[in-house]
Amino acid sequence: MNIVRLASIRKYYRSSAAQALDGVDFELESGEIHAVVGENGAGKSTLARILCGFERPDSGAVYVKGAPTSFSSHRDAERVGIGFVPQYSMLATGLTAAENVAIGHEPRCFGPFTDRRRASYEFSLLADRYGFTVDPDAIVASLSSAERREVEILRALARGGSVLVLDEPTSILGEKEAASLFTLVRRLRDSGAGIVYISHRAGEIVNLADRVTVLRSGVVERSFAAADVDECELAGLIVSGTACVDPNARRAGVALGEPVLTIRGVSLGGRGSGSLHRVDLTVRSGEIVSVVALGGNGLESLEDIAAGVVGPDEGDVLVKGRPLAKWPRRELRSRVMAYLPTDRENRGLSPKASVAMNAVAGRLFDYSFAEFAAGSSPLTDAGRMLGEFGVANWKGRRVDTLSGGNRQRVVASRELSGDAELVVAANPAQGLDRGSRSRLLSRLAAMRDSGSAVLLLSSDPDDAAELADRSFALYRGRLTPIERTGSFDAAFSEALTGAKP
Amino acid sequence: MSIATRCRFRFDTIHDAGGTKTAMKLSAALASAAALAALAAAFLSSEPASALRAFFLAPFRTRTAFLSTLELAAPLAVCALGVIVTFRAGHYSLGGEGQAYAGAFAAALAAPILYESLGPASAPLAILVGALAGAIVSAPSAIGKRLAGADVLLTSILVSQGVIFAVDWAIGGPFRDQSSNLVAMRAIPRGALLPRLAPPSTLTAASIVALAACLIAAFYFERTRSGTAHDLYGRNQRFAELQGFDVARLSWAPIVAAGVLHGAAGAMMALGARGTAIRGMSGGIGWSAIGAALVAGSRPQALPFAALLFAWLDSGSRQAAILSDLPPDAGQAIKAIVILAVSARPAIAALRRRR
Repeated sequence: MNIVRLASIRKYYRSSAAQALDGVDFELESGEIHAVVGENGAGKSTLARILCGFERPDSGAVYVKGAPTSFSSHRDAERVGIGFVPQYSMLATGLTAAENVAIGHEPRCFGPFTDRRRASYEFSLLADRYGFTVDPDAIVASLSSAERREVEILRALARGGSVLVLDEPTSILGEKEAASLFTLVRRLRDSGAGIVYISHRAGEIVNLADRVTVLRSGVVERSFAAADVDECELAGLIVSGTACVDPNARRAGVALGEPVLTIRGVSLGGRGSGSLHRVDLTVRSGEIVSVVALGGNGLESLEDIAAGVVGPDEGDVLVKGRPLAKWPRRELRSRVMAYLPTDRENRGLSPKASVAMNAVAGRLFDYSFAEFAAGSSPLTDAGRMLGEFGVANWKGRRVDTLSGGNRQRVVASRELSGDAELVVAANPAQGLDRGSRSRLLSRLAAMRDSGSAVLLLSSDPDDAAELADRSFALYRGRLTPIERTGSFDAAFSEALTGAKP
Repeated sequence: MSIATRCRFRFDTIHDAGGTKTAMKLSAALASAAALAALAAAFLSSEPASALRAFFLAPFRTRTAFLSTLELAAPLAVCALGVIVTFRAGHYSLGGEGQAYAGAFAAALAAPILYESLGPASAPLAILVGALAGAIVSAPSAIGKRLAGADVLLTSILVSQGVIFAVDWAIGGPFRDQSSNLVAMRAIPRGALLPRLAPPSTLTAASIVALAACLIAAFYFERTRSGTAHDLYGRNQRFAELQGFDVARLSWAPIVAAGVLHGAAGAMMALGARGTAIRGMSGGIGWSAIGAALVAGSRPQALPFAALLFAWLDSGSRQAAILSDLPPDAGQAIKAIVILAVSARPAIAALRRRR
């Protein structure tokens, strides 16, 4: 039985002059996981936002349990049981996890007052029911990305129930959290809920989904049973013309150079299980070193240390033999270090500024006064950089009008367009479709081959398996080297879960 | 240079295409102000026809009236420029009024002394003294922000209020011209005032200075590397820091720069039509400047139009109060509603996007 049906949905965004959806039909049955896939900007998130009442379609109809329905807000969608887990966190960071879940539906005591104890209790019941372990009284700002995602899911479950819309839910989760999420999603499906699952990751869709709908340029290209395709076929459908990446296609014969990044005996405390304990790591020119960790094991701390966002409590961080803190920041960023942060919205982009400003921000002071005033040089450079990563239709637009994947492409365009001697790339492929991901990984490999030192920090062991020359697992703040003998996946699993720390 | 090359110079920009929105904002502000003025005249006056004529036509009826309205707009535009400088750095300073008042006081104090030694060349120096006074008033907020991350919104308004009380006391007390019925300082010698450009109107060189300041600021934000870094810092401080911009300087310099502009605006008032510092003379200029900055979409190139709109509302309501029985505060009320209408545009746009 159709639990939700969208018929001939059209949506045009005047601000970006884009036809996001053009006559899309979509059906979701109860007890079904229906994956929606497509390239960045294909219209997946718009479809989700219309289904959840965040946006209204220009034309077309939404049917819930066979009845035509019109949502004037997300609350209307929640009332008919549709919950939403957004791609980017929409939590109030100053409130606790339990308060975030209760927000707008707070249990009351003595009239207008919020009953916080009851909110916390109800949160615990819900978390326990679905096997989540996040502390109800933890302030959201102190939670890791993975824990925040858990809170988002619990918030959707607390309000929705019969339909859950997950927009790129694993983009910031590690392997363990992703596996827990899949178990949860299957359990929800088995209990009769309908799940709309938006993702770029062909592997997880093939393993998880019952049905797949492929969107391209706002139109449904194909809809089929997930069992009818394998991972490679699905990847080709998501981004036409993309072949599966061969993990064995590795470079050969590039000589290692001098150490570019040296992390020596570094400890960083005060971050719970995300603290670092006497970490030693050297990245030389001409190699890619990957560090893989599940959420909450110190990957964010290591990113902060390597990028110079915070200094270590003890130990040294050297870039080309000079303490990182002693480098003039402008010189470091414009000539030496490229940095792709995990938190692209706050660290990697200025979303309210234009795409072009974001693209040339790193080299702003490389232009002469006259060049910059004339305007054409920075604009030409922005066009070249953005073109390399396939960002089109960007002139005069602000970053916050782009889709999530295109935003990541803007970050990659800026950071990987030069000849940085050191690249710190933290979850660089997050939110990218398969084609963009493979273009980005190829670019990192090319930079390595031309002598750059690349530190790849990732929650996804696949990135390390495809690209890295040396790999480490980070578990509870301690690094363990992964040997490339036997099963690479098994070695990672053991090191990441602490089975063989 | 070919026409095509010249066009590239004019239009190639890495900024977003917000100019159209600013033009729409200005048009909306003008339309809502006109509609509100008509409504006020119709419902608040027993002589609607006279009130309407006075409101809409009196400020423009004669060359003198029009040029005097321009003169009113000049210090407001400079003050609003200070607001834009802070807003575009992500600092929300509400201390403009105290800084302008201090600038007016300092200029009125310094102008006679400077005139005695320098003669007619003293006016620019008196404006510099006013600017310095504005900078000094803004300094505690800038220092607080730089050293302790203090909230500029709170510190600026607290310091400003204190300065307003102190200057009120000084003008009404030790520096009062006892020979005048007005609570004001001694009149500045005529030769020390800003030169009048078109007597008998009150138009002075301040209007040219204000226009030049707006154009220079527009160039700074749109066409210089420092202005772009300033803008990016205002939109996302963490991003600016990670790009290697000088965030330490950007955390305080725009606040002081705004103080300089506010102080200079106050000095222009004292050295312009007023001819001295009068108690309460800065009344409302801080809020009007914020309103003009909002109406101009924080774009300096649009400021002369926004300031002129607000000057017309001031002048029109004053004329209507004199020539009819429209309440003198009608202009202030209309300004407040126009500011609300313009500020509400993002919310309206969000609603329209949903549909």
